[in-house]
Amino acid sequence: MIIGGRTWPKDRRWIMAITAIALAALGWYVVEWRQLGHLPGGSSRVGLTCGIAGGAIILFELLLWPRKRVRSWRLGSAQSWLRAHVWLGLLAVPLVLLHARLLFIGGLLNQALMVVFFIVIVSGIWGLVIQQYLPKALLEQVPAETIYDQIDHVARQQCHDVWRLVAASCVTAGDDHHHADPAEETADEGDHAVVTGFRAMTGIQGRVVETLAIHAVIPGTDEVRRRFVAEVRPYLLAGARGGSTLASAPGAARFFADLRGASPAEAGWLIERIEQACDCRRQFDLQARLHRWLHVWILVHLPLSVVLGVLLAVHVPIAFNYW
Amino acid sequence: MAQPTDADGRDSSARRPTSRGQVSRIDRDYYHRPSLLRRVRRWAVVAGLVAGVAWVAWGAIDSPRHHSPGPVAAVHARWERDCQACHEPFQPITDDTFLSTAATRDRADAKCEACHADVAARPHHPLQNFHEVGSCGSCHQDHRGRDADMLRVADRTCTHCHADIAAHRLPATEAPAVAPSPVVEPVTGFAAGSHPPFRGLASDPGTLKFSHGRHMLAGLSFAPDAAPGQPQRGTVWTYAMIPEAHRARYKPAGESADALVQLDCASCHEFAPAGSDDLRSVSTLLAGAPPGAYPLPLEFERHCAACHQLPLAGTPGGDEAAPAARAPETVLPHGLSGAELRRFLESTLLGEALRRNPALLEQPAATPPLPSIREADPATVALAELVGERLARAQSFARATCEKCHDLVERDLPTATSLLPGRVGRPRTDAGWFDVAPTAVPAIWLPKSRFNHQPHRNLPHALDRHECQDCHAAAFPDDTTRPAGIAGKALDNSKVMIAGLESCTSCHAPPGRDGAGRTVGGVRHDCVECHGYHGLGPHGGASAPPPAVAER
Repeated sequence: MIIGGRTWPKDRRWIMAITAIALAALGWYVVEWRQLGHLPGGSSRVGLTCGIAGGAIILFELLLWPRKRVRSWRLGSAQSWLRAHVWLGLLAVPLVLLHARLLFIGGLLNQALMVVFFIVIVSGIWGLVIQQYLPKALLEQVPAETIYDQIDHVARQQCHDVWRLVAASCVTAGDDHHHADPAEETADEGDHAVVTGFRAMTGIQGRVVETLAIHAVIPGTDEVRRRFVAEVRPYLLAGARGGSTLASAPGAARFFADLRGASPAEAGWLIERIEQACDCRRQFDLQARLHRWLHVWILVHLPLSVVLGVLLAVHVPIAFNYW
Repeated sequence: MAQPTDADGRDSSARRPTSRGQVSRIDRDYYHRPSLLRRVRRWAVVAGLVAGVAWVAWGAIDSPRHHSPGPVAAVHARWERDCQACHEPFQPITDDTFLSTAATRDRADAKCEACHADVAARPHHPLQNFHEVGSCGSCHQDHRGRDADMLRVADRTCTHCHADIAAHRLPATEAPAVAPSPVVEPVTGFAAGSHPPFRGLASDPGTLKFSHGRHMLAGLSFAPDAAPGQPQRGTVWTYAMIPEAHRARYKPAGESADALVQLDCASCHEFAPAGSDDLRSVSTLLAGAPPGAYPLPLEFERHCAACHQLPLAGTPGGDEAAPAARAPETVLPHGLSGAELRRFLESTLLGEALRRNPALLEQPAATPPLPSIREADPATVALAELVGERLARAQSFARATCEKCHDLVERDLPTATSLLPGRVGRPRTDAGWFDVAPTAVPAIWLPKSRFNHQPHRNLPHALDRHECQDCHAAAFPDDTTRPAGIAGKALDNSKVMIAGLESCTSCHAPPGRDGAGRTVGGVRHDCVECHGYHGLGPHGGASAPPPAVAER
């Protein structure tokens, strides 16, 4: 949570400060408006002051990016920078509006500058809102969360682990050797299997890695093995991209109910392990989707910030030349 | 169902996976491989940089479109792409910036004065405090589009001083030769309370004795049953009584010649058609106004003589009898000065006397043997005495005739310029003559402002009202604001018959609704709608579209 919670006292100070500054600027603008008889432009006393302040804020906002490159310089905590980035960015909106004569602006450069500025602001606010709520959702709905870039790797590992259990415990159907996991051939062929699951206990939940002893083959489990190879393993490897019915919780529930009905009672623990693996894979899918929502706004915010910086660098000298 | 675990009694410790095997489950190099998101982000930043630079490059090629806040006015369109023609680099062009000084103002104004030197040289008022006058660009803001009128300056540019004019004009010590105007009423807008009443309508400076009320009555006559003390009924005019030459101007088509004469406003107050400069030269103010803006000045011969001929013979008050039958030579010309009047009367009466007694021309003139005091011969003296008595009567009659409508200024005329011979002992000047005082009826009643009758004459009116009555109600006999009986008064020329500010603000005001829910106002009501600056007269700085716009 970026705003609120334990950081609320600091946020409250920022809110009070930017509100006071914005109201002061607005009051000054109204006074000068009444004196001039028309909306003060960017070169008027209040307009220029707001413009300089707004430009300085934009410059500071742009510094967040290089600052991440030089973390070792100890230029304040990342949290402080982010908080200043958020609140000063919001303060820039009224200042820029007052500088731009409440949007009654002229040339294409100014128009482009204003359009880009507002897209950057809106995308930033969107990112702020997203980051305000999605991490909490991620924490609650994805207890099996892993590093985003490792999702495919972890999913493959998990698939391999479950396949070892299935291969060791189920009757061989005879024609599924074509579907054998290649990793199985090179894996440690001991009589233990390491499997990934997740547990919830006294309010704490998360992914756990367990080591299970591999027992003898369970008779009558050829159907388990067959359906694992045909339906479960593709889903575990590809996730929701493969269009499997296992990608939805109700579909998975129906699938495993059928499988339990077609299997001996002794294979219950094995089916439960497979079901847990599918559940984990669904969480990875959800994590990937939330991750994209969390970060896709930056693909708008960051490049347009660069455009904004370039246009601003041209706007300033031209405005002073013909003010 | 029991799940097999390590806890089933089997010694499994030797067969558990090794820590090396556990570590191999972790992909330790994932962060060396850039993710898709990171790669897209990097390329997006590069694309943003390229787009920004490209936009700047485009702006360098098409600079006015990118850097100008808007198209310049049509009059400046030639310099649309030449910013330096008006802008001094890195110098503010307006006065509302931090760095505006007298020096920057002068430099900026010099650019304007290169073309507009004539306007800049004209002060607004001799008492104007020039330290408070902003740069040209502060009032005349450009870049508001081709059709923008740069003369349409904001009210604030005027009310900056006029809201408290006493505090913004030069003190008497700095301009001792200029008498300050006693009027210091604040002007903050155009509405009752924020704009003083029109000074031009405070009183009627005209000296012409006239009754609008009578002239608007049928037959040009008071009511036949006038109460005691009220003006009595005079001649009741019919169209047949108007000379043939003038009759068509007044008689409506199809109206009987015996019908009573009914005048309307246009009978006397005529508007010049577009393109005409008819009679405009009598007033420099009118000469500057667009055709049709104001009614043309009244002329006696055109607007009065049809009924008010000036008979030389007769008695005062008898001039209205049988005017159509009057001979031209018995009519006093209008508009003569005192000297011209004496010359006219003398020559007319001498001619008449000589026509009656031609023998007077046969008597030889006596020639004195030596240059001496001029002594008229007896025949001439007899002629002078013969004419002198009639001249005195004609002089008295003319005085009474002129005095009926005009104020007179007494004037003694030199005897030497008389046509009648002098005699010993005659005074050097002839007393009893007079000049007619100027009528002083303003050609333009509101000389500080611009007005145009033309668009105002086409406004919708109530069905029972004349088109002029909205603003000139006092000129009509049925004016409800007249005190009882004023329509019957002989003279009402002292009453100003132009409505004041309130008649303007019914339209020239912010839009709104009256008590009946009707839309009122909404017509422009800014200062420059009526007033000029730079020493310009009421029509000198008309906000007519600039030539370039008009041509387009």
